[in-house]
Parts: sequence; C-alpha cells; structure tokens
Amino acid sequence: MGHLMQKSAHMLAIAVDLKKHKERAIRAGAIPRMLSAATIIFGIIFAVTTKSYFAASIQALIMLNIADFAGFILLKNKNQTKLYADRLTEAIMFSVMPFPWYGLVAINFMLTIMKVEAFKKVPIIPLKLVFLIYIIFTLI
Amino acid sequence: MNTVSHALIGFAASSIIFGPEIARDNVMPIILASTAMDVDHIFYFIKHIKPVIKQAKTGHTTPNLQGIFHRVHSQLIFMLLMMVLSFFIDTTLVRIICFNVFLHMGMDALIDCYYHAFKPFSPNLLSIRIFGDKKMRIIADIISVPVLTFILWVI
Repeated sequence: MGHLMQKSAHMLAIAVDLKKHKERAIRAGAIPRMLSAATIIFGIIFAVTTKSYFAASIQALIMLNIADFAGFILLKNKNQTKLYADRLTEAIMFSVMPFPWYGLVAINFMLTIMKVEAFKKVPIIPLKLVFLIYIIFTLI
Repeated sequence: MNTVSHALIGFAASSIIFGPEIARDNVMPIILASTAMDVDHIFYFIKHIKPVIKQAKTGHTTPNLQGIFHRVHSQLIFMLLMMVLSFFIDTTLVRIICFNVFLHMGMDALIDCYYHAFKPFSPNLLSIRIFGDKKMRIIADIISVPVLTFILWVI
C-alpha cells in the first residue's frame, strides 16, 4: 500500500510537470496525512464550539491531544506535514483566545522553523496539552 | 479551495464563534481576511496562464501556485503583527482577522494537493488531500459555493 502510494505520488509529480520536485515527491504515507487532517479538523471544531458548546470543545481538545500523542508515537515528531498542521491548528484554536496564547503560538512557529531548518532536536511547546491542563485547573 | 468558498466559510464560522451581529458588523474585515491571502496566486496566474487552464481541467495543482503568504515565515510575521495590534486596536477585530486568515490556511492545507509551506527552509512538499487529487477536489470546489450559501441563508 505504502509502495503503491509512493509510486502514484511519483507519477503524479511527473504528470503535473514537477520535474524539479520529482526526486522529492511525497513519501508521506496514510498515517501522517490522516493525523494531520484530524488535527486541523478538530482544531476548527474546537475554535467553532469553544464559546457556545463548551463540552464539545473539550472533547475536540482531548481528541487533538490523542492525535498529538499518536503522532508522537508513530511519527516521532519529524513529519513536516504534521508539524505544519500542528502550527496551523494552534493558530486557529488560539486566535479566538486573548493575548498570552498569541505569543506562545508565535514562539512555536519560530521553534518549528528552527527545527525544520537545522536544529532537529529543538523542542516544541505542547500548547494543546498545556491548554488542556490549564482548562482542567480552571474548572477545578 | 476557491476564494468565494473561503469567504463563505469564514463568515459562517465567524457567525458561530463571535455571534451573527458581530459577524454582520465586521463583514468586510472577514471577507478581506479570508480572501486576501490568495493575492499571491495572481503572480503565478499571470506568468503561467496555459498550465493554469490545464490544471483547472485535470484538477491537479502545482505547489508553485501557493506563494509567499501561504508559507510558515509569513504566518509567523502575521501572528507577531496581530499580537502587537491586539494592544492598540479592538481585540475582537484582531481575533476575527486572525481566525479568518488561519482558517483559510487550514482549509487550504486540508484540501489542496501539494504545498511548500516551509519553502525557504525546507524544499519538501507537504500533502494532506482529504478529497484526493482530481475529481473529488473539483466537485468539492464547485459544490462548496452553493452549499455554503444555502447554509448561510438558513442561519
């Protein structure tokens, strides 16, 4: 299955005349794509429900953390699609929140760029987990 | 995803989050924030008009279509700008703009075929493609406009 997807991605790269990118044609399999899609979708659900349907937003936040945990186990935090999806999700989630979260999202963007460019071991703040803990403490 | 759908999704989501009255009062910022990021496609359209027509027929897109606004470093600069602006102007407006811009990016990341999100730093092509590569993408693109218009009309 993975080989088939790799081959089809390679053929597609040729079909749309991406000669420059042929060598680097998508190697990502189904798991990073699914996890990235789930992350963005749950992020949008969280943002949309956070003011009116608090219970639904908490469930979306828990699902986001589960997707993050699965990504950490399966992809070891190296997949760029998942990294990008995580940053977008955080930006969508926290754009409806007040100031401190904006700053943390911006810091995470910077850390991600550093991680992608040169320093592979740069840690990224697990903002969704931090926010879940914050919510739990607020409720208590 | 097409620009009209972005505007409609932005308005629908903003109505749910901030309330229909605030969304109606800020309709111009919502539409601008959800569509302005697509300005970077124009440079590609002007330079490559023939491949663009071919791609519209086949449903394929190239990562070169998405220009500078669809990249991580632009998003970082935008986030910092919004953070600074939130101290000086109405925070609701800042939130509306920020949410719509990143909702646009999120929808693009979900649906578009390939994109160079980390381009100056990494040449890798990223891809999620929840609707696949060809036909489903075009169908979703065409259907999204009347469906979203209907949803907004019902709301």
